Amino acid sequence: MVESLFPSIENTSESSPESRRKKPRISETAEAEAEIEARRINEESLKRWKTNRVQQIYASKLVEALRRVRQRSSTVNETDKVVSGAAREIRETADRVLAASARGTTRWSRAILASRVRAKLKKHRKAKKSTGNCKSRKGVTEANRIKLPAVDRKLKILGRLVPGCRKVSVPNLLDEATDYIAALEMQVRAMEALAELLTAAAPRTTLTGT
Amino acid sequence: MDNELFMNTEFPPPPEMATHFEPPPSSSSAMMLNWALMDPNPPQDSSFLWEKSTEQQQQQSIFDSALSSLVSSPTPSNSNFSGGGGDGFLIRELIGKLGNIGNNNNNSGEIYGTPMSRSASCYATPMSSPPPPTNTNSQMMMNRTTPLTEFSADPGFAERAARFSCFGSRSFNGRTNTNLPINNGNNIINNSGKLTRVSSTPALKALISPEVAPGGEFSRKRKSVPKGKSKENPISTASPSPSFSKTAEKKEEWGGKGSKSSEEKGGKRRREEEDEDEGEGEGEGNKNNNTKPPEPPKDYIHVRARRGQATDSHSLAERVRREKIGERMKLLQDLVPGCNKVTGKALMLDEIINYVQSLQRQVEFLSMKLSSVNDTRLDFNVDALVSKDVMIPSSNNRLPEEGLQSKSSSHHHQQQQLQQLNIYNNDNAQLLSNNMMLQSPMNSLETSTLARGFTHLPTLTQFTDSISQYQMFSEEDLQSLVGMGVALNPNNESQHMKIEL
Repeated sequence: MVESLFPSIENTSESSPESRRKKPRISETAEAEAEIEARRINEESLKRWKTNRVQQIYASKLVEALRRVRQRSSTVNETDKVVSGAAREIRETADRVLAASARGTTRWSRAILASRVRAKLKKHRKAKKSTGNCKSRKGVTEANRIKLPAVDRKLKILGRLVPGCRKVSVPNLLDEATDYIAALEMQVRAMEALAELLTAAAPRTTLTGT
Repeated sequence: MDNELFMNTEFPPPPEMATHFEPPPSSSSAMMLNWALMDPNPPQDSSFLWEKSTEQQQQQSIFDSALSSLVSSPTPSNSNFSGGGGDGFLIRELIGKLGNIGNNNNNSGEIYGTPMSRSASCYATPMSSPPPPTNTNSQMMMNRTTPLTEFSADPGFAERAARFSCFGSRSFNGRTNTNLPINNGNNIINNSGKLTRVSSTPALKALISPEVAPGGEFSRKRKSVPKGKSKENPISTASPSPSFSKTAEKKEEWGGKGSKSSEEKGGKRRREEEDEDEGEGEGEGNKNNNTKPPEPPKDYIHVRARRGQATDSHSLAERVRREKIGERMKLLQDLVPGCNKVTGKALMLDEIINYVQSLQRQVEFLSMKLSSVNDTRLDFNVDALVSKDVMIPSSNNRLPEEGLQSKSSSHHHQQQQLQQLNIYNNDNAQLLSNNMMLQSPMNSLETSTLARGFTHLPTLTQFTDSISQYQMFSEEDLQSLVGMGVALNPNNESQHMKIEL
């Protein structure tokens, strides 16, 4: 089921036109070697998020993780489970699984996996102060605010969006963002497939409220 | 004429250098000061040479005027030759070093060697003689680095050499082996069409533009990539104007600091080193093999300055950096839908940020949805999903309880897995086939607003379409499957499900 779903996604226009577009573009333009290499490397990294196999791996891992979450939560008292809390947990689980699928080659994946370790350590230490990320958001005070050029501001915002890429150089940041976007797309596809399957199979009585 | 002059004088550097460069306090002459401090042999005929060389200064007047801005030292005087004895030595050494930088292949021994004639000719050719063919020029270029050092021997030419070397420092960065500033005349005529928009001060422009014009074509930094110009032109077209403006600005800066010639030289060297460091760091992206054999094998990024573009190290590094960023933005443009119409980094970044935020929001929604689904019926579904061949069964054990057996029984299934995985072992009579793709969507869609909401997610419409395909499967098959499903009950799952019950 999972596998059969994903192939259909694979064949849809999302990935193939892009890849088709890329190839003629590369061959047509007289690009320098270095640029061709860079483009190839990036495409390879992007294509890995589109392969069937990756999606299958992700889906199965996600399912396992969700099951574990469910079991863990079931042991705990379920009555007061807040939807948002569960959602957050699931999102974090999904992110972790995604990061694990990246096999540590990208910065954001390492940051995601590391953040959990950090969170655990904090829990153990019961340290209440969250360090590092909560430094002053703006490097300058209001008085000395320097209006950064628009592009730089946006690059900063992008750095905040991609986990673990706040102080990363611009070209690396763009690389990370590329990979992160591809991974997110895959994640969304997988989760949606999963959710669709589950809700489709779900007892509609619960939904209808009978 | 110059040849004769130089032939006569085979001695070291001109005393004028000392006179020139001792007084000037400015750092511009710091280099020359160093020269001045040295102690060459006092030239005896220097005055003679100087007078003779002054004849040629008519053509060099332009350079002099330009150089005067650079060199703050007083005009050379023929009076004091004594103190300048040691200066020429320094100057010669310095020029020798420059020559070495410019041309590593030439023997340093030639620095102090004979060919005054060559040096003279070097100056002669740009000034007076018509430009020889480029072939000979290239050959002479190699040799001309050394003449730079020999210029110091002649007092008048030493001063000019110093001045040229100041310019040369800039162009040395651009051209290690090939061009020399001395070949301006040749290059002017040869490459008149390739003037780069170069320098700032008008006085320097005459010098720099011919200097850099050939450099635009041939210039190469330490980190020079022998790419074809044609290759780079289409790439550079993307950012010609910003690069132009930037390099123009940089030239302006250079011109503004024109008075500090030696500083330029020193700064140039420092920047060379910095660029070398950068080059080693960046080596991966642009590393191409040298085309020209005389280029010493260095571990730098080799960037070829394109035609009509500036050649100083800053602008080249800047261009490399811009190109890298541009490449990546192009890739992102392909990835993010709707970015094709947008041009400009800021707007594209806006789109990218929006897209990432929307993706993250989708993940949030889906996780919320999954959490709600988790609560109800995840387990056996999870088991089903884990096994590779299984399609998610659409029913659960609670269905019978809730009286939805009839509905839940309608599922699509795959052929082979039907017997394999019957996950929905229920105590109930109703058993569902293992391999069910999706239940008839109508029920779920009607009841589940969430599901409906998600089916309309823009990025996943294709996916949902594909899902709906599976929903078309006939329901009559399912009824037949029910009976088959009864027989096959994996123990684990049944137990698991019973626990759930």
